[in-house]
Amino acid sequence: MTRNPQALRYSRPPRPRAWLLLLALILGLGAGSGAGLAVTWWLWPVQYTNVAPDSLRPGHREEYLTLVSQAYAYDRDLGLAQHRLSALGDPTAIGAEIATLAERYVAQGGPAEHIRALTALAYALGSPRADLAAYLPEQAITLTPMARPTHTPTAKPTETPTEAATPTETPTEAATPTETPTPTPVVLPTETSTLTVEDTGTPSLEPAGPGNSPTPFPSPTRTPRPTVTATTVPAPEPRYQVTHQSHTCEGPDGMLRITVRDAAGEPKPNVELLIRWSDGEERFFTGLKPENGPGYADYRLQKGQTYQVGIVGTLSDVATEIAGDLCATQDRLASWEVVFQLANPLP
Amino acid sequence: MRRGRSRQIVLLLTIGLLVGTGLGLWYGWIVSPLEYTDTDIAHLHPAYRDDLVLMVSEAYALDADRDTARARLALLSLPDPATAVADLADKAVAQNAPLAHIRALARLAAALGAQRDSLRPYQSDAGGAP
Repeated sequence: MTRNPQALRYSRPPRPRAWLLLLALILGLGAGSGAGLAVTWWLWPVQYTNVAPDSLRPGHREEYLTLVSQAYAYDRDLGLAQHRLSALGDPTAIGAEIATLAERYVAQGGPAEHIRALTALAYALGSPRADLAAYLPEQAITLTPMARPTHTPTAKPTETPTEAATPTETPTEAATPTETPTPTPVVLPTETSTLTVEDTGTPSLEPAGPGNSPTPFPSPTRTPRPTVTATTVPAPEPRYQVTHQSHTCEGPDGMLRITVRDAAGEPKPNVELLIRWSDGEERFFTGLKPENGPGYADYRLQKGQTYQVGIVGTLSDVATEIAGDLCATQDRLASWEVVFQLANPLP
Repeated sequence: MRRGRSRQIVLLLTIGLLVGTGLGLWYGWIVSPLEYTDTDIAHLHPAYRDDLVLMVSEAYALDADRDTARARLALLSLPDPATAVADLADKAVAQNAPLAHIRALARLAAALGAQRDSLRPYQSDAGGAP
């Protein structure tokens, strides 16, 4: 039996040329990748429907800042304002951002109400600007340093905002809701000590009526907005200052040890602290470890992280650059000690 | 011969398509997903949206500027802003929220045309507890 070589040759499946197979694979890969990208970028892209305010585009971020400042002007709840602002990112930079926004509104001739609200919040957050002092609502700062507190703050933000936050003003209802600037020379509480003229035209902190809304309620017509004519010195809000910040390689390693003191230097319990790092934040309180003193709180630091810590609910410095670094001479994380103390109130 | 070659080509094309699709999905959803760094206020988490509505009402309580309040609420793309504000006011009442917040919301709801008996006590200056 002889084998027909010709028949053998034709009985094997033919082998396509290698370049053709490669081309098919590349074409398949290309088409598949294109289809995948079409799905992910166009058909069913990642949906960010529940975003946080820190990803807002600049225009909406400014609107958000303005709203926070106007809400603060209304309820005078600094703790709530700080909480709202904390959703926007770096708390140490937000005061300056608000002040800058107010300056831009001034330059662009933006609404005076917005400028005043932004200015008040920027000052409350410890970011005063000389060119904004004229927009501080209803106040003449007569040789009075801004940050000198006059009363002891509560440790936690109050949940019940007071509506009339400027108690000594005497609003007089004018026939027309116009502003009456009272040129009162004041000395600015800034390094430049510039003499300027106060703008007393005024956002009222008392909520206005329903305005010109078509309602059956007692105020069917537009309620004239109060015009403040009296010059008042508002009670400056208390402020915690960082009086000590150091790192140490003694004691337990990698601990941030915080002490909060009142104006008399006494440890202060139940003070809410906010610590932030690159991708997170946490709140904690003083006094939870009474064996270390009523004003004591601590937080365990992570290696390589850098933290910022401040007090929630009142004006406060923010202790920054708290790094979870190794000690120079020992193989352990350094600890940090930070002391916050309430600035002495005015007599 | 041609059939066999065609099969191999189709097989490789299919494999390429599948692998390529997988690669595309992996790249588009994980490596480089669409980034919404400049998001719109309308895309905020509902909790932030509610807080924003509250802030709008507080701003309205300050300036009594209904048009501005409307424009701000429009940013949220609410289907019915007046109802949304009134709903939030009712929610604030139910949750025993600060009176100032309830009043601000109730007044803005009324200004936008949402009249509710439940909110009437909070719409006057002296209004407080029902």
